[in-house]
Amino acid sequence: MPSLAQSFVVSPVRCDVRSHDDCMFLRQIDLTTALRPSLLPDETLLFVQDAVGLYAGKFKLPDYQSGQAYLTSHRACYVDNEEPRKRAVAIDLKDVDRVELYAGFLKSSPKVTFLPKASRLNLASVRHSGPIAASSSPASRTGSPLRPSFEPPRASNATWICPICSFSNPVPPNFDPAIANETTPLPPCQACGIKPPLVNVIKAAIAGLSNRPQNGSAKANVCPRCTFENHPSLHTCEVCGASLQSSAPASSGSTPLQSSSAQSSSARNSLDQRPDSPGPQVASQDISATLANPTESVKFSFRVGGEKTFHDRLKQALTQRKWLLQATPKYPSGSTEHGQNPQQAPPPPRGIGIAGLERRGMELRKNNELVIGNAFEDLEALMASAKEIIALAETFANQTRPDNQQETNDASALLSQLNLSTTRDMLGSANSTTNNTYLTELSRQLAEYLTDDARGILRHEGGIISLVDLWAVFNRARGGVELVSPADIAAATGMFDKLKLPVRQRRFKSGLLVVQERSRTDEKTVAALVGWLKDFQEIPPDAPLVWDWRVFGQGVTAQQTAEMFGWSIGVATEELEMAEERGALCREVGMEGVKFWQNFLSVSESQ
Amino acid sequence: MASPAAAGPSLLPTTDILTTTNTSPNTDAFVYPPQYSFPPFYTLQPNLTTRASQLSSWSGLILAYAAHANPRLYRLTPAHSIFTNTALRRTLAPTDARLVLAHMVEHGRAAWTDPTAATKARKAGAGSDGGGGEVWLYWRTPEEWAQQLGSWVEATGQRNTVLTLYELLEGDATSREEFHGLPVEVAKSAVAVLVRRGRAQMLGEGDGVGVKFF
Repeated sequence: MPSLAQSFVVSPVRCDVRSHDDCMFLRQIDLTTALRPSLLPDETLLFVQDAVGLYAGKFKLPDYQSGQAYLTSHRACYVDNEEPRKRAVAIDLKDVDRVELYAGFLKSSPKVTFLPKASRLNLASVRHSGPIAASSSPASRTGSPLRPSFEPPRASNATWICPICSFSNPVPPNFDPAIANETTPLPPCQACGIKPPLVNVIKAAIAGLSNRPQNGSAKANVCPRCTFENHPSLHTCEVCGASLQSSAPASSGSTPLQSSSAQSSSARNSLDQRPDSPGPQVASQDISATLANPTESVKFSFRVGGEKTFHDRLKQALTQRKWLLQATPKYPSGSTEHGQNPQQAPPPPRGIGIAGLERRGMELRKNNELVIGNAFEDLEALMASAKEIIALAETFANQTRPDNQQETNDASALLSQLNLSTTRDMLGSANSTTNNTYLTELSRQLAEYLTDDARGILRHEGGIISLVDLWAVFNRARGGVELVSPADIAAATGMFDKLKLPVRQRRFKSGLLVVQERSRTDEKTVAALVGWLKDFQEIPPDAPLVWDWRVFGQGVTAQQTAEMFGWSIGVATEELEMAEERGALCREVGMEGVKFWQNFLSVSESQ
Repeated sequence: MASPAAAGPSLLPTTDILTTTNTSPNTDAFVYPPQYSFPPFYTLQPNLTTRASQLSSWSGLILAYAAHANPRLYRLTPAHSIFTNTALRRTLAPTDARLVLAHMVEHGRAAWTDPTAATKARKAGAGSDGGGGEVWLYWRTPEEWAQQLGSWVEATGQRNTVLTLYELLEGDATSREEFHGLPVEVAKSAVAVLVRRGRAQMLGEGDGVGVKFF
């Protein structure tokens, strides 16, 4: 019997796993205005692929068959093409145990399968016993009835698969997963002689325990659908592919080692389960139940390719585990009396004037010094304060730029907030479909960029921006890297309508292309123009006029209009001509150039 | 010649030059339409709907002015002063004025004084602003003139008598009639209407043309 101290060592591991038990594997997500998943802070977009379908287990999810797959550093998201707001789901990568790539065969599309972490639910009974044991006092645990109840399962035929040579080794009979730790002696693989990782053996032992049938004998796992007796370590039936996991919690629920909380949770799980014999069509099934079903693996089916890149980037993301970074508490910012970090510390006495500025600068430098000093003290600390270091590095990079103009600062500030990351590079090789995906992504990103309230690009431009201006500010916002070609911008803005984005591209009569909010129609523009011109009939002019301003008001040039509405002159000209085209305005060509007036020519005709 | 250019809506058309003996048909002020002092009125509108109403406004203005003017205006060139508003310092360009006249011709409210020149000018595009653009103004259409002539003959009991055109247009007997002073060319087109209806017959050639009414 291992010592109690050893069982204490193990429990944190299990607690960590358990903490995710209650989240669903697939869950609804929020979208941005441009119908892309809204990213968490620090989350980065890694890959986008269109024409992707979703499977739960072996079955297609109806209505989730044509959408975009977004792989971020934290999640794998699916956004439907038809009903993006309703059907946007994501898998948190932290819940993913492993992913499998299926290359596709004949008419079957390539798929990437996400397996939820360590079959955590059908092992609920075993896992729940850990924390309970850990929470009880050592004194009570010495006489715990749970302890001896672990003995019989050790005789079971649990096997662990050697990661080196794939040989199935029996789990040693004296191995107890509940109390095993790094110091527990493990027998090497019988085939290749290499010691297995502890995790593998624990998993195998747990699997062996949980698959143990009710009668306690080492009977094989009977498939609920076809009654084939599967090997206990299998999760799905070898013959018909039905999930074997559903039977496991139910059977283990009656074992004497089951705690009451485990029972209730397994009962809940079995409620959440899909019906025992799901038909080949999932159409009749309740989608929410499927989504909530956490034991199911989820497949992304790539109808037009892209699975390789997706899988590669996914593996990278799973290795990097950026979400841990996010969860990391901020590195404590030093031990000096008053806080150096202006954001965190209670506000220091406000300095006024140059002295105040100098003091602030000094505090900032001190804090930076501290952060850097701490970060490089040891590697662990560096990991912990990685976020701050990266932020610092970015600000240093900004400071060292040659021209320190306001504009540049704005642009780089924009860039850092912006996460303008859609690049061709992100989308693998350049064939026609990836190019199309690139354009749709660019299109969505442009829409996001334009409609973002914080930046107010469109608002600043009077709700309408010429494509040339857009191209310029957008590329500036990208900070001079991964610049977008004018042709791509034009093509991307052309897709606004198709993607149902809140902005639209518009071509004026002269061929000038602009982007404006979808809500802004020509009627509204005309009404605004006419309303403005009508004001001239109310307000006496500055200089005496030879005509009756009470009747006709005044004529306006494109420049005046541009100033009035915040448009560029080109846009103003086009809008005025549009209004003229609609008969709301008429023009006067004089020595001062073209002026536009309310149309009194047609009005009198109709009278 | 009246100078509409200097005239605002409230001003009388000037009557300083009198070339005919008949009295002024209207002594009250000519009221310009409001568009006359609307600056865009002097720019040809690119919007076709607006342009159509602009042209008919011009047409109406010209005809009203011609009928009101003293002496009455029967012929008009694109360079006429009616196309200029000096108070407003705006002028309808002669090329645009030609278009106005062409519009009037098209709608039967005017006729080119030289039909061949007009055709030529039209072929060349409305570029030339020379004398080719001159029109007879039909502020009464030939039909209306014909009606008046017929009524007058009827009223004076001169059926089946032969009258020369000079007698009709310049004679003392017609001095109170509206067609008094009508240019021969316009009168001829009016008589032609009567001829077509079988109510008159043209006799003779050249200046001494006679008309016999039935």
